[in-house]
Amino acid sequence: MTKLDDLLQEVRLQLGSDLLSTDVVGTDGMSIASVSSAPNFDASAAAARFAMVMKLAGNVAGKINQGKVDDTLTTTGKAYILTRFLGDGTYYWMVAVTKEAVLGMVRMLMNEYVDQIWKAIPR
Amino acid sequence: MQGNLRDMAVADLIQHNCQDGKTAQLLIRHGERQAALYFKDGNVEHAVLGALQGEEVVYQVLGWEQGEFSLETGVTSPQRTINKSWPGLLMEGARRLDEAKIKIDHQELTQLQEVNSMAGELDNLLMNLSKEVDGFVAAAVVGMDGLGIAGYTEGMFDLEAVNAQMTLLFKLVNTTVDRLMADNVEDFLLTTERAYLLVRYLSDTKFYLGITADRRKANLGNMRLISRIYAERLSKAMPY
Repeated sequence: MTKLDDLLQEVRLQLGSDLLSTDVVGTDGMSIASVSSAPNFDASAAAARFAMVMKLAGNVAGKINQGKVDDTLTTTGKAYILTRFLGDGTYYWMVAVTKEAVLGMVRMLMNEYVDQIWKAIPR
Repeated sequence: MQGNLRDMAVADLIQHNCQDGKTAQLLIRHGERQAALYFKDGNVEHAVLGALQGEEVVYQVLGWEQGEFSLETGVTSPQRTINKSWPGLLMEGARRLDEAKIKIDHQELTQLQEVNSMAGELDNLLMNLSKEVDGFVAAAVVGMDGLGIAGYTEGMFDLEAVNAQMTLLFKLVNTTVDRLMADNVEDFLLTTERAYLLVRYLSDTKFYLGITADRRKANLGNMRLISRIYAERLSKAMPY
């Protein structure tokens, strides 16, 4: 198991049953590490599709002069989906949790792990 | 004789036939409807339109501006249902048309006033919202076509561009979530170096509330809470 997988497993342990999936994804939409707890949640599809959202978000933020994108949060009827750019922006980290999760806690956890995850990406 | 009402109005047809003292049947087609007017000795003697007979038919056909007509002379009326003189019919018809036009103008004015009042109410709500969001920069009610229907900003801010760009992004988020079958999108937050940009659907999902706040000053939890409260208030103020 790689360091990246270890870190995602740590995140899963911290979020417990609220975690649906967490992925580290390239801007090409390919996931390079993934932990999923919900068989009904198609993590690889989510990774690929949110890569498009992150790309467009970057363009939008530029066009409206609001600087670089840090993260997004999508609230649906069933889940919170958080995405966050890593390091130089060539990868992003996605965490999907149930609506029972404490949103503030999830954001704090992402703040805590974001640098470690970026450093753990194999180069 | 045949023709089109664009070339000869119903009032002119009545006037000519009566002045000539003709005995004739005038058929007038207006869409799917057809009326028949009968002339005798310089007067309109009878008129029929579906189940309706008499003067009321004349008043209705005087309002028809489109359609075709055909006149057949020598055709006599099966009965007499009109006793009023032809000038009396035309004058009463003109009076009713004027009355109807005034009514329509009044309705249009009322609708315009309602729209203005609604827009004013939305603007007021957005202004109130601005006081409750720390670091407030702008807020808008935007259609999913990317056009804002109400907006409020503090300072220089290109609300039109933000509305258009955020709609584009929000649409992609919706498509993405739809494909993942993760239920409907409620709201979407974009965090950039400088700002929080939050969008939340109103009860009619053809519209959303967008709020932009200065990231250094804003409190995200407060911003989401206020967006929920005001999305409800704005939904109630919308003319669905």
